[in-house]
Order: sequence, then structure tokens, then C-alpha cells
Amino acid sequence: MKKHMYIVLSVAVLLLASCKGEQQQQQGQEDELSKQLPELDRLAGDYTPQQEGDFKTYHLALKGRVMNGVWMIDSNATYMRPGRLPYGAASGGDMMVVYTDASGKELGKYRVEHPGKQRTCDDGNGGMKVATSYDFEILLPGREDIGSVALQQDGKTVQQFKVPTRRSREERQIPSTNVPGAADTTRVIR
Amino acid sequence: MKERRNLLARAGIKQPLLGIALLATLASCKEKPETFVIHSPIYPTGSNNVTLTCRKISGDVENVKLYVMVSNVSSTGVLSSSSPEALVQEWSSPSMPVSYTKTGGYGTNKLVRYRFVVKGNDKTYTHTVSFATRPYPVANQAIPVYCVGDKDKVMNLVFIPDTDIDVMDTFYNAVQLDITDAFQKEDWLRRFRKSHNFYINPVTGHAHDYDTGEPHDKPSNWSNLSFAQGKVILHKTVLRDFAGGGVFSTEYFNRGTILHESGHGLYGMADEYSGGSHWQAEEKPNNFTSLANAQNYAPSVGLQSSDANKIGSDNFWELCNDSCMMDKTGLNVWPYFSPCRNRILYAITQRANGN
Repeated sequence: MKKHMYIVLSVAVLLLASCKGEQQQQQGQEDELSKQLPELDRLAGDYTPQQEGDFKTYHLALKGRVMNGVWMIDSNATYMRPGRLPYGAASGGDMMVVYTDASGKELGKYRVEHPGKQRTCDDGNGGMKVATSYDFEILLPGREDIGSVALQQDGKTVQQFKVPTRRSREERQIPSTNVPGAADTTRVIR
Repeated sequence: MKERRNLLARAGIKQPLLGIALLATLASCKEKPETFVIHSPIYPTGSNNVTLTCRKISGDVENVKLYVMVSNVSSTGVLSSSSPEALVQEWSSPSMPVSYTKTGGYGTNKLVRYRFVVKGNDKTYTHTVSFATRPYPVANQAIPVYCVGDKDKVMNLVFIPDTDIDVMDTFYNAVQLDITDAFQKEDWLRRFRKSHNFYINPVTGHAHDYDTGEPHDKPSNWSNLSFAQGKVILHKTVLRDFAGGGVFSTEYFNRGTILHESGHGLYGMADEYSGGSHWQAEEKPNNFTSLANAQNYAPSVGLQSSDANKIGSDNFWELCNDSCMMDKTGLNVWPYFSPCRNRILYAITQRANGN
């Protein structure tokens, strides 16, 4: 009787273990997340619409154009935009944006996709190419001491720019054809 | 099976009892409640009936309270004449999901903030969501349709209507379904109750087919969307969609593509299919530059070194299975696998901590 009981329990445990291995691992992650959620709740703060237009926090945009493979930077200004830099330690991409101060000391870096890259993965029909001519912008954190920025791929610098010192706020942009139902791409919806 | 039944019978164990015992063991890990919330329509007119719903993921919910506050929004986004937050309904020992409908709507130019307070098994937490009503008076700014936190501390995704969308309700409904049937369907993401803000852009963009070589036409208020990690053009025409220049496109009905591309833009994950975009992230990667790297990383995500496999003919390796969302796009949502789950948690935590 005891032997049978042992066999039954062993079989049950084995069956459970075999089909639950992945679920247990998943359950472990979910339990860990449940512990972290209250802290994430606290850190997330509150949403307010005023945030959209103020410069209490801001990031910078460096604008430029690539023409037939030649990179050109808009040297008139670095543009200020509301809100913290959307990218950071956890951003992803095949290119590294490295920003330094005037003396060349590294201030920070983050990953981003190559700005000229077009990547498709449309239902298993994958493809990737880099355009030869395109506009681009490089976003940087809102700080005054950034002197230059380098774009790196596979650890090698492929482009380097001086960051214009003049800061220009990019206030709310008003489309030129701000008319509902207009036939161009700046149609405004309500 | 028959033999197993005989063994059970001989051992004097009734199957139902064994089943109950096993279920009880499993259920004991899930007694703390987890829930998610949504409102419908996602971007209501001032007179639309609006339903606020709280749904259960797991655990036991003992009590739910719903509070609502409505504010006027000025053309500069300043809130005024906020009525005090009021308790509108309470459910004790509720049968989930629970819903409340505001008949006649909340009026125009409003920001509605609702708060579900959920209690169960000595655990209490809150879902707080803000949404705008139509029309939204702040010109050329992304319209908040499901916002839960400070945009500097959470992930932000902006839905941009394509010029080919002729019936805007089609677009609004698609945004609603992208939240409910993508973000709130995937079992990991829907647990992050305060980590994703969703917006609708008031200005259109236009998506091009990958094979034309044309970049997407960005909306003219592009610089106002710079704060967002994700920008997507939803269109009607069937195209070979692509991502580039900080924006991606998809047909308005593709839930899988929304999550796959959010995997790139919001959480910094690489592709897991051959021919995709690959790199090994410095922390919590889902792609590896060598087999050894993948094998060494496997135990930290509950996997074995034998789970490491090469991504087609590309010189990268992965630990996820072939049904992971970073291996899929298109219509359907697939679950993120263990390494991707870890990466998502890492990315959201980094953002929340200001890194």
C-alpha cells in the first residue's frame, strides 16, 4: 500500500514538474514583479497635461541631413524640447550615441537604431536597408555641458559632431495647414 | 492512463482529491490579486457614455472602490475647476470584472481621472488613469487617452493616424484595441499598471511601403512627440510596413506588430528572427554575440545552456523560444519569453529611476 502510494505521488510530482517547469519559472518572475510593483507605482508619479508644454525638464535635438552618404549638421542651434530624454540606459539599437564635454570627457551614452535605417519584419518578410539621403536628428539629455557627440557602431566612431552652443526652444509647432479635413499630411483631427 | 487510474485506486487515493490538493498547491502562489483597468470609448466625445472597468489577472479580490475626478483643460493644458474626487461605486466581494458606466458622458475639454482601489489578501493598490474627452483643447499636443504616470518616468507611445484613415472612429477603436488586445492581453505587460502612457496625435502622418524606399511622412508636430519612446502610424492600406527615423507603421488591426515594435522602441530589445536587427545589450540582453554568452546567461533567466540557439544564419544567439513576441509580428499577440520579460522589467525600472 505504502509502495503504491509512493509510486502514485512520484508520478504525480514528475508529471507536474515536467509540465510546470516553465510555469514555475514564469511564476517566479511574476512573484518578483509583484514585489516590485509598489515601488514602480511610487516612482511613476502622476500624469498631468501641463507637462506637455513646459521646459521644467527638457532634452536637446541636434538636427542634420545625410546627402549621398555625407553627414551635415545644422550648426545654427541645438533645439530644446520639453520632457526628459526618452532614451537611456535601457534603450536599444545597433548604434551608440556617445556625448562628451568640451574636453572630450564622456558624459554618457545610449543605444539607438541607425537614423537612416529602414527595417521591415512584415509577417516574416524581413528586410533592412540604409538610405543614402535622409534627414536625421540626434537626441541628447538636457544639460549645458555637452560639447560633442559621436556615433559609434561596433565600438568604432563613424561620425562625430560639435554640438552648437546656442540653444533654441522648440515651442509648440503649429502646422501651416491646420484645417480639419485638409488633403495634405498635416490634417488636424478633433 | 488506465494503468495510472488503477494505481490510484489501489493506493486508495481518489483522483478528485489529488487534483484538489495539487490545485491548492498551485493556487497558493497566486493569492495576492493582480488586476488591470480600462475605459471605453478610449477617447470619448463629451456626451458618450463612458464605461470604466477593472479586470482580474489572478488572486482574490475582496473589495474594489472607484473614485473619479473631472477637470477642465485650458488651451495651454492647465487644469481648472476640478471637482473634488468622489467615490462613485464600491464593490465588496466582487465578481470580477467590475464596471461602472457614466451615462451622458463627462463633457467636452475635460480631463477625467479615475482611480480603482483594489484590496485583497492584505494587499491594497491603486490604478490611476487619466484620459481626455473630445475635443482636446491643447493644439498640436499628443492627446492623453490612457495616461498613468509622469511622462518622464514611464514609457510613452503615441498613435498617429494616417491620412488614409477616412473614418476616425476606426482609428480610435484601433487605439482602444491596441491597448486592450495587445498591451493588456500579453500576460507580462498587463501587470505593469503604472508604466505606460498612451496618446493619440491630433495631426496625421503617412506611411509608405518599404519597397518604395520613401521614408514615412512624419506629422508636422513631430518635435512635440519627441518625449515618446514609441511613435506608430496606423494606416488602412495594406503595405509592407517598416520602422525608420524613429517611427514605425502598421495596419490599424495588427496587434502583434504593436507589441513587437514596442519591444524595440520601449524596451530596447533586438529581433529574434533571421535577417532582423541584432545587438547584445549591455544589461538583460535578448540577443547574444556568441553561443557562450547565451549559455552563460541562461541560468539567470531560469533556463539551461541547452536552450541557447543560433538565430538562423545571423551571427547572433538567443534563449527565447520561437513563439516569443520578438520573433513575431502581424495580427496576433504572442507572449514575451523569459529573457524578454527580464529586459522589459529592467527597461521600465530604469526609466522610472531616471536612468
